[in-house]
Amino acid sequence: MENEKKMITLKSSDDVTFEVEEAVVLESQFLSHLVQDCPAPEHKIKEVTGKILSKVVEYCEKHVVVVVDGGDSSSSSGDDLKKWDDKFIKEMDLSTVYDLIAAANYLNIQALLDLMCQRVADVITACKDHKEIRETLGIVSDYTAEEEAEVLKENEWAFD
Amino acid sequence: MSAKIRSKKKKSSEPPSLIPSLPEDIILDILARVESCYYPTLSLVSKHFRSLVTSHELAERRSLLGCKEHRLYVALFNIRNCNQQLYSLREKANGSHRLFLVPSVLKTPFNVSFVAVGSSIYVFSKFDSIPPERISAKCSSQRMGMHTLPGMNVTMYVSFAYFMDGKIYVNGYSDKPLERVMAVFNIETQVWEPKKELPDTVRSGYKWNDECVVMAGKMYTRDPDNRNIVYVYEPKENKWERDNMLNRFNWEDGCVVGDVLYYFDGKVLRAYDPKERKWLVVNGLEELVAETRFSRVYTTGSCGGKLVLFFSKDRRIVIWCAQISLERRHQGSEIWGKVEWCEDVLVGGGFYALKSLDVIV
Repeated sequence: MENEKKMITLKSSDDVTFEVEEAVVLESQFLSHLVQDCPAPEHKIKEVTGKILSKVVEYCEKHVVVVVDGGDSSSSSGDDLKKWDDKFIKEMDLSTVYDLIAAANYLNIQALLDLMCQRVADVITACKDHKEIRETLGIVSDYTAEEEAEVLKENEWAFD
Repeated sequence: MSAKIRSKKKKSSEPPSLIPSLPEDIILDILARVESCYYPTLSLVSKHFRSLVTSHELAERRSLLGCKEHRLYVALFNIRNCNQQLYSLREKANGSHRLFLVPSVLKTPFNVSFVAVGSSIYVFSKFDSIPPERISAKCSSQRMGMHTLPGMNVTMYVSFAYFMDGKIYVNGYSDKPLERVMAVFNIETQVWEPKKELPDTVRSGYKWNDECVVMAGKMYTRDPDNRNIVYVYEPKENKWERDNMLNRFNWEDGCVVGDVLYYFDGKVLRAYDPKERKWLVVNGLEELVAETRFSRVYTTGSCGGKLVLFFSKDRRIVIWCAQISLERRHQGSEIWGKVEWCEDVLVGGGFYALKSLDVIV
């Protein structure tokens, strides 16, 4: 039965290959269309590196609904999946998160994109002030000191 | 301009991939997931973030993602100049709560009646010459947009307004023939509908009583001339009846949470469930009652399914607020309240809370 499953090879921009089941590929809207339109055994994804693609594959493999022989749907239960997601994002540094966001956006994997955006949102809310947000997110302030003081004044009700 | 800041040492391990490199659409997606109480901090990050935080796109994205937050606005009455001003109850960065003045939006700060509908507050002046207005809480985190509504098609002095079944009903009286009138504003079309004909028993009379609540699609109000009469208005069939349970207590500063009326009389929090036609006393609030012992002014409000109680202390110089979650027990035969927090939210002034408004932001 194992060999009945259709396997597809994905190749990253730096030529790392991943052999995955077709069901895994279908988690990505972009790849589903690609596989349907062009039934080649191997697909090169120029926009995603091997490091990131391995994360994408890991995520999709976990989230795919696996139909085991006998017809049981054995996709991981909601709670388990949530625990897995938590662990998955916690282990990641922000730079990987950004790359994964770009990849999920490009490959059109909405659930992964949502998960990653939520992770950045959580990072933002964990910052103690705007300076820490800048530092963490790599944002360069374009305010002059006067402008910043003005915005602070506008919002001073929230601080004290 | 940015180059000098980037070159600061220490940050040599800075990853090459940064949030500014993400598409605008994704950044919106991320910010939409951050609770709105962080928006003041976000506006300080950069001009770009500030413009995103105040944008319509962010508000739309938030509603698309279902990130709805209830925010309580409250109209405070200033005893020195008799003005009304809108304040919003906000959680501060340190977790405490405070009432903040909404930068003045009201054309006439006195004698106005407010109604909250979704993310808007509608303001009706008690004098017929001033057109009603809509304040939109959605356009930014704290700045509110003003829109003037079409003038009313009924010449009247407004007593109060309430929202029910997609429409705002404005109750008041006219003085040419001295009688009660009711105007109807359709929220969807933003148009005034033909005024509702009132039955003779309701029409004959002068002012309305401010005591008015909406429960399960019906409006309840007390006859100001005869305290024993509480009218029930059902809008679909335009039917007026009397309710002979609601007249038992004075629930002037009451509010409705989950189609149940709550009001605080200084000793107990009472609840009236129109489905069971039964009055109950809410259990579990002994400490809160002790806290309010020397207050004289109370107002209740509802916000996101919770009950909020405002009370004044120290000769109305300090306004206190308690947020209470409500729970039905024993097949609904008992209601228990749990005080989630209770603290002073506005110090100094000489105000009291008139009416609270549950607004979705």
